[in-house]
Amino acid sequence: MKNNMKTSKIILAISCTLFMAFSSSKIEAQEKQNARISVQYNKIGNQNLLKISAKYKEDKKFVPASDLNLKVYKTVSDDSTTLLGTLKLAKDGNGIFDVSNEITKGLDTISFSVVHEASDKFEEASNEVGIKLANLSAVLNLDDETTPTIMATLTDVNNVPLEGVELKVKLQRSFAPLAIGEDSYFTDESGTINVPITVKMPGLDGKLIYEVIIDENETYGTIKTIIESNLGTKIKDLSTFDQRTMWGPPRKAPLVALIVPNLLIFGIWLTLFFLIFNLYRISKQKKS
Amino acid sequence: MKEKDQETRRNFISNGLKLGLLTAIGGVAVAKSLNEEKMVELMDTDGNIIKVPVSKVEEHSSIKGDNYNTREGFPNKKFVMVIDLARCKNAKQCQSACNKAHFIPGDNAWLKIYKMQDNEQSAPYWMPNLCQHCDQPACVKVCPVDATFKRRDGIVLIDNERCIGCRFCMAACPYSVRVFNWSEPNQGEVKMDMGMDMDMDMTHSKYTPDYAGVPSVRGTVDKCDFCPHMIAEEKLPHCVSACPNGVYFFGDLYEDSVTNGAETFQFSKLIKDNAGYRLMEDLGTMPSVYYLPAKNRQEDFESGLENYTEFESVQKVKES
Amino acid sequence: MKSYEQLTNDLAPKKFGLYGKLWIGFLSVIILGAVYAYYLQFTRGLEITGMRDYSLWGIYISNFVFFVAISLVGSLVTAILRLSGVTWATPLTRISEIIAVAAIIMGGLTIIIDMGRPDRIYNLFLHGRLQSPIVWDVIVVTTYLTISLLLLFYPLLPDFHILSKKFKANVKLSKIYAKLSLNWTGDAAQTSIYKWSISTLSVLIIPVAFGIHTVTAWLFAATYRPGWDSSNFGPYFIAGAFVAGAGGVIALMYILRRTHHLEEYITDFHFDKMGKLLVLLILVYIYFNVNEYLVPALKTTEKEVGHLKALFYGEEAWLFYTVILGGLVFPAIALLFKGMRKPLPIFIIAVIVVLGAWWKRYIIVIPTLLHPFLPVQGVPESWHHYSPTHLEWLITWGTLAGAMLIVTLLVRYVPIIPIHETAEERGIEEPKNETNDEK
Repeated sequence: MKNNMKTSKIILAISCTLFMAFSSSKIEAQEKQNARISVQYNKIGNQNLLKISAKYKEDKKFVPASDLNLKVYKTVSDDSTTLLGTLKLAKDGNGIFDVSNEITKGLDTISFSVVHEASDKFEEASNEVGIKLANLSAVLNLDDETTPTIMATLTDVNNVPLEGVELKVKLQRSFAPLAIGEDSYFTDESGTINVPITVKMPGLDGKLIYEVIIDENETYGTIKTIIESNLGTKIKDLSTFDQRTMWGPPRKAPLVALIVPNLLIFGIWLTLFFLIFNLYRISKQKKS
Repeated sequence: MKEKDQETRRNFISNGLKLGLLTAIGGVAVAKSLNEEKMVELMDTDGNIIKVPVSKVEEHSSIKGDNYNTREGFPNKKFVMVIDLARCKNAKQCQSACNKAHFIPGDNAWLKIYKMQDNEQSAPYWMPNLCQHCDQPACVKVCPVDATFKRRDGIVLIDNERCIGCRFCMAACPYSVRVFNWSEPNQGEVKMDMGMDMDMDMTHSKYTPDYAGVPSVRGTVDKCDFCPHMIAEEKLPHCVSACPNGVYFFGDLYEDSVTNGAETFQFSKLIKDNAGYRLMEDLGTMPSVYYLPAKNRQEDFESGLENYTEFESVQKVKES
Repeated sequence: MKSYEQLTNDLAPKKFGLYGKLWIGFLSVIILGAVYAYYLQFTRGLEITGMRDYSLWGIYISNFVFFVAISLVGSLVTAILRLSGVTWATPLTRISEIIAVAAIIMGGLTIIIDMGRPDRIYNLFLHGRLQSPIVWDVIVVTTYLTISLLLLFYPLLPDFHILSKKFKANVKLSKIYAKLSLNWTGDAAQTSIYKWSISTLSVLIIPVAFGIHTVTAWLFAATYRPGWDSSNFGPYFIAGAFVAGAGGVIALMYILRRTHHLEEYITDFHFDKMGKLLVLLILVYIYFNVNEYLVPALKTTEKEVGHLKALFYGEEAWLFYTVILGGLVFPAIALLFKGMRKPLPIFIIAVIVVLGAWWKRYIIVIPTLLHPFLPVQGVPESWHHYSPTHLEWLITWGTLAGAMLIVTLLVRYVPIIPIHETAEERGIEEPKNETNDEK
């Protein structure tokens, strides 16, 4: 009896240990990593946002960092800092933080900072970006019928034109936009660029969506404005999916491939069934 | 005597029960740790990351549209690929990325870089070769059970749940791009070796031809799928993104635009200006993959030789 | 002249002697081994064979083509010769039909053995594509099997009737024969149906036979591969099929003549005639081979060169020359001599021809696959060659043993030489006292 009690206790102890060991999550290394945070200011149309990403070095390679507790602050000209909100990054280390227009209203310049307070895995980390706010507008000029033109104007918040800023014009496509015209254009004294659209591109239902972009500018960040147009040439469906082909599904076989074999099979098997029937006829012959 | 028997019996039963309980607890614990309902991380509208069980996730991608089915494909698209042979240095990052992403279990990669030389006088060059997704596919013509099929968006896929393993498609393909699963694919092992979590890529709880090789099925055929699972997320196929030299361009013929991620070109102009051609054009297969000749190369062909493995295209993880 | 009873005694099937039983035992052992090997294949996959991604078809497929080829002998002897009024072939019709039925059944099984997922065979019926040559093949094989079975069964009706009377002592056997004879009496009505049916079957089997082997040839010719991409393949395969079939009939008729003491019915004359027929068929086949191999060799098209080099002086050259010279040319020359057309010599030559025919299909299937358009790179060195594994051979032997088992079992219960037709030809009348006529 005594032995049995001892055995029971041991078994119970082992089972409890095993249970805890399996159900608890992995115990991670205690060494803290240094995460690198990057912040970019983007304005798409009328929407402001911050593109934030973080990575850290593991085994000499950079790996996305996602277990960060990020706080986003704004700092304005009078050096006052306000907390805007928090952000959790996705598994690939990227995140998007919306900045409402209220926050940038009436301001000339603004600075955003992203801070991660020290956590179990990561040391404290932060980064900031300071930008001068600007407005980019663009229209499609159809005066000249043969050559439509995109006219884009860049001004600051007080409607003062900004000269000599690099702009790019692109056409939206599935995986990446296609550059239109020159590699880059620079705004003139009136803060304008004029880009003729010389190449005819196809668009679904005639729709083509162009973008005018200030790409990762040190002062202004990234600003993008969109122009919708109907300049797209018609798309012809080149697939044979709806046709009867030798590479189609069974019900879309060419008619010849359906009719001829079936006729042969039908004709031959009709004869065969009759021949089998003949066997029956022979067996049923009455003795004369 | 009877009492001793009774006690032995009691001991036996009680020990048996304890052992059973131990096994049950251990089993449940092990099962829990291995078979946690696969959770996916999603971002809600407030920018918070939440975990949702896979079974509750329904994918809606704008590129798929409302009536997407794997046999018809992405609406209003026709995919093409351009491979610039002038840039290829046999880095083989494309091959490793494809092998990893599709958990390729066998000894034959779906994407292979060939050492080519057209004739004795011309220079040798590196040529990536993958399924050409032909517009008049020899493989689809001969399949007896409609297991491999040509979609409206140009992609040719394989339904590994229907394939009967006759290998006629493999005999018919002149580009030798199809591989066969001669044995039970050991992908679990492969996934573990590559340090991937079981739930990282399994956003589909159900098999679909859209993501070939997940899983690979014994006794059926596999090949490059042009990564519809990536296209659905508006991302480029793995080989295109992985290439460090910008060799692969991918895009939609109906948009006349192809990109390697960094550079985007007007497709028709790219082919015209660079005398783009297709492999074995004379066979009439009408491939969707175009090649730009190996002209004006920046680096010698020889620089790719150190990576060349004549008898290996899928790296087996070495046992420690 | 023999009496009816003597005729019946000579031609009735006999019980197995010691050798017969040993033979069945031997075949059973091979078949059991093959079944076990197939079990391994079914559970582990086709990796147990020597096939890999380049040699994606191997001896299972060449064996399948061989079976389809040799099954054409049914149409050749039973139909073509019969319709041409060649009466000396009558004793050989049953042997030919038996070979045809056995071969086509095992051919069908062999193709299932080659499938990676035979458990999904129903997909052929649920999702079959009429555009695919494989679907055509399935249809034609089924049709040909049905016709061959009917062409075997019909002439057996009068013979079953005769046998049911002969074996009256064995009540059970007699009843089975009687049932199988479908109440055959030989009266006018039955005979007219019988004659019409056999004529129709004889006519019908010829296009179906041509169809079956043409479609099988198109499994290869429908691809772009050098060595297969030939508009010649249909006729080429059919010519080869007749060679294999004729060889098979000669071999089997010699064996059965000895085991069943049929020297009076299968005479030297028959061997002589079949020998001459075989020479003719081989010469036709050699002509097709010359077209198949010489024409691309004259042109040295880039894609053909690798394949031809391998056959003419490369890895497969030894087999190529053995098959062409040993399996076709030398037999044809030998058979030109009357002495070589005597039973024993011609039997040996016929066996060589059949063996050559089996290996010829290997030469057709495998070398082409090892010389694809693009160079073979990025795969293990062993994948550059093909060598069937022991298990693969065992399964293949199993199918051949299966065919021989079917032949053996049929021969046990069915007269090798049609009794009724032989009696008719020799003018031996059936004795009246046993007929069912009631006047």
